[in-house]
Amino acid sequence: MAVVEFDRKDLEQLVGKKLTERDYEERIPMMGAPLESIDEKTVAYEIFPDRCDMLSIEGFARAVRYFLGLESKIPTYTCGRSGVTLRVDSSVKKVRPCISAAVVRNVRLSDEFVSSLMQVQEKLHETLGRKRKKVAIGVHDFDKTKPPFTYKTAAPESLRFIPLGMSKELSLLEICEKHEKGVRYAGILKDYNEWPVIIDSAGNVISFPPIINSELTRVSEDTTSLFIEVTGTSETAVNHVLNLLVTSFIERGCSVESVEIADGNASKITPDLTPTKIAIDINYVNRLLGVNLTPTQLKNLLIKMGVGFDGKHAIIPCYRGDVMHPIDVVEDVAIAYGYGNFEPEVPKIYTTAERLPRIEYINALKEIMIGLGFQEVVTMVLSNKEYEFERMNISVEEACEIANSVSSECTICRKSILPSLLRVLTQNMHREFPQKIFEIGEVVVPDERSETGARSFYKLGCVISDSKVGYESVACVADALMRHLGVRYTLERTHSKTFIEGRAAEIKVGSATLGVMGEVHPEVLEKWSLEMPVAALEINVDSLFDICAK
Amino acid sequence: MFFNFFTETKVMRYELTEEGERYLKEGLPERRLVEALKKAEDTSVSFLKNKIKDFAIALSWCKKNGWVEIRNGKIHLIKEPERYEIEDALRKVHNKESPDERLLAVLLKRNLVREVGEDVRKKALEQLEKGVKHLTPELIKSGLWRRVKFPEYNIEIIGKRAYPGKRHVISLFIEKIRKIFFDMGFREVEGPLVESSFWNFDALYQPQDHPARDLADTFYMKRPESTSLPERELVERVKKTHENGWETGSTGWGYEWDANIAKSAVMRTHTTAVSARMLGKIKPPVKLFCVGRVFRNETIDYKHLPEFTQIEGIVADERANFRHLLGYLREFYRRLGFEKIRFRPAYFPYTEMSVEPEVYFEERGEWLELGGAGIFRPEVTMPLGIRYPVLAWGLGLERPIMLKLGLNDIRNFYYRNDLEFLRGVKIWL
Repeated sequence: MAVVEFDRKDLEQLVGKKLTERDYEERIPMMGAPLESIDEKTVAYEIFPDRCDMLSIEGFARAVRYFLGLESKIPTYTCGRSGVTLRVDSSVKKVRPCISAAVVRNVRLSDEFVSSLMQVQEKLHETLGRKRKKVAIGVHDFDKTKPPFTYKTAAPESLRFIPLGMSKELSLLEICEKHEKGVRYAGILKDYNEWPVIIDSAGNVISFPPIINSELTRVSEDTTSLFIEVTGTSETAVNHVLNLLVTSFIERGCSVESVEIADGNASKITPDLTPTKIAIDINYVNRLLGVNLTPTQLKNLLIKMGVGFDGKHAIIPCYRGDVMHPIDVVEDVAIAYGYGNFEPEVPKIYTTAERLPRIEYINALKEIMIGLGFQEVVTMVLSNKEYEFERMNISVEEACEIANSVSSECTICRKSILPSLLRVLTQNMHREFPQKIFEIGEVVVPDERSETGARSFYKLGCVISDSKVGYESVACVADALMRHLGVRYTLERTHSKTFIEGRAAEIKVGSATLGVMGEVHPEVLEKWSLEMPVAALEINVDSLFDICAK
Repeated sequence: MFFNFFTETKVMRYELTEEGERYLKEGLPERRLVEALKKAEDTSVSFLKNKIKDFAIALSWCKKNGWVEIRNGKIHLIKEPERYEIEDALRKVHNKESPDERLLAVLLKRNLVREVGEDVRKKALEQLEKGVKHLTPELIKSGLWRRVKFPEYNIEIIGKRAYPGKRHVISLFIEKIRKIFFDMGFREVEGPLVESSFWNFDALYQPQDHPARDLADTFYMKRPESTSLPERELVERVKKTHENGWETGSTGWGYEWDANIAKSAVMRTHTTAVSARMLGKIKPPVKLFCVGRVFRNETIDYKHLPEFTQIEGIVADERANFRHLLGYLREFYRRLGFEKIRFRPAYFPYTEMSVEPEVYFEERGEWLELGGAGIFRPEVTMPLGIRYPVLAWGLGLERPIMLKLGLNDIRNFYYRNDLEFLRGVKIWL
């Protein structure tokens, strides 16, 4: 989620209109940008991932201008030719194949411009750039460079330059080890032997993407021309990000010139600021939205989103990278129409309700348990080996295991409900006794025959804790359940170390084991720091259900 | 009846009262106190009062028997009884043997045994003489209740607090929501907790480099390491849709789709995975819902838990449109108790139009965002073989419960099951 903070004065200047509190708090959010915070000087909005064009204040102001009806034509941007060439060496193909670039003239770096430039770079890196992996941006003082440029790779220790923010030359490797940005982003390059650089005709490294620029081309308050390069792993993404940047600069009053990317067969001239067209059938729009718009109405709505309409096509400005399908245009129409202006309607679609028999069965079991005086608890499916095995006095078994948990408490899926219930008792030692709790919850086991390699099903667990409880305290519960389900069962002595030897039984139906119950072993109680005796019962609900369903 | 009234029954039998039964099972209160005193480090009245059931009874008999003394708020065991004759007597009554007269008198006095089959009238008259507190079987059978004046009670005294067995508040709310869906003609569906990335992400048109698929958000499995993909044609359609839009009319994401990434197993991050699985199997018109646990790789704090419950409803119909989606949302939330609703634009990778409903919380006097909704993108539905709009909405279960109960720590659910909270929480939200 990207939240972007804007200076209200700068924003209003770019919009060209004084904005009221109502504009900020009610109208602008309805354009698809929830208000995060507002004070006298600044305002912050959440920008959705599909509208990266609104990450910059210039782009945001542009969207507001259209949405508030201050513009009647779609934006058109022109781009001169700088004559600058950037040669792409084939060595970059394996590392970071894509690049686009532009030259920006008439730059007057006001404080607002600088802070906006820094913010939009950071936000684009985070979002579209996928933390610079997919896209990284370099902004340089054009006049400090000597075109033409070459984009190529170099061995980590073969090249040295002064990285931005430092005073001495470092090798690429040293930058990755010492420079703050190097440490943060070196991971992107770790699998490669050679790393990408952009050098100018004087042989100076101007950029080491996606890590850092050179100090040499640092942008200062005297800068009047910028060289922008965008590198990455996706052709669409680098072109799109370049368009986002340069159209923002044009909104600031700068002019933009193209750069020729000489890349053999893949040569191109960037940026390409021509709008794209996408075919729109007005019936499709009306049918999906449940409205009845005329072509003129549709056109008038789309212009509020900065989108044109020629009767058959929507004309999408070059900074909108999110329009993949006509449906995206339909959403623009809906937003322009105003979500609050649609008349909600429940259609008469005749269908019948259907209950899942297993869930209804579980509800029947819950009713018995509640009738027997048990409080239901709801606990987590995720657990860990200590809780599931060690504290239950059983040896570690195969379980569904998580590879990347940030929490040491959640590393496997539980296979049993009883550890969860003992944990509840541990947390409630200071509460009134007797404590009678139960849960019917999901457990997960590895299952190679299943499509997902695992199988989840329900188990019923119940525990009673009091100064005096015994085997019979839960045996009578099991009996009550079975009798009320009409299931004939037998009991067989079992020797689980979870329970006191001689005071535990398996519940059997025919030859199948459905559950287990007994007096919990004091060693287990000790491991859970419990001081009151506990009797416990666990039943496989899915197996029981299958028996009852037969 | 009247015959009985004048007849004397000479044979006396005794049986244990409920209290007597209980003491026989749990031990006499005085025994439990003596035993606690032998073990306990803290022998203060205030501590033991909460620790020992029937504490007042235990203490008074221990004192009467000269076994304990209270000094400075602490109970001292001054003489340990050799045996508990009262217990022996209880056992005798239980075994239908006659105990010693003296002990029987004590048992009767302590209301641990009662006489049965005795002269009803005589007993009733005795009760009358003593003054009547409780209506008794004897008073009813003899008809003497007519002569009785029952003293007034202090109606403020409600006795010991009772804790009924009951549902957890989460489970209550799930039932409430299931009922709403059933009432609206929806069919319930379910799906696996360990899910393939294919159904959790790819089938929902989430690109393979989408931030939601990051290790930081999603639990990936070490075991099972991998899952099997569904039939080849479906996988091929999804692959092409990601790469170039296939026949959906979309440009696609423009990258090379990797089947191995789609095979990786995850803890499902949303119930939309269940919806995706169902979409491939249905014919319109269909209305489905799912309630299920979902998982996110979060550290546990007052706002975050690695698991929570999500609810999702979908409607697939040839004529379904955006106004219908808003209509279902308004109807669903109205049935949930929110009369006022408004809609804001939102973003979800798999829906377009995307909506965030906001409902007005009367209790708090403010609009709050509750859930998300949208129409599935053609890039989601078409590869699954569906060529008509599918409306979908979902919400997390915990937030509305927390708002309704005024809770601000999500750990109250799943992570902590504080019995005092659960025993006290109201059952009607």
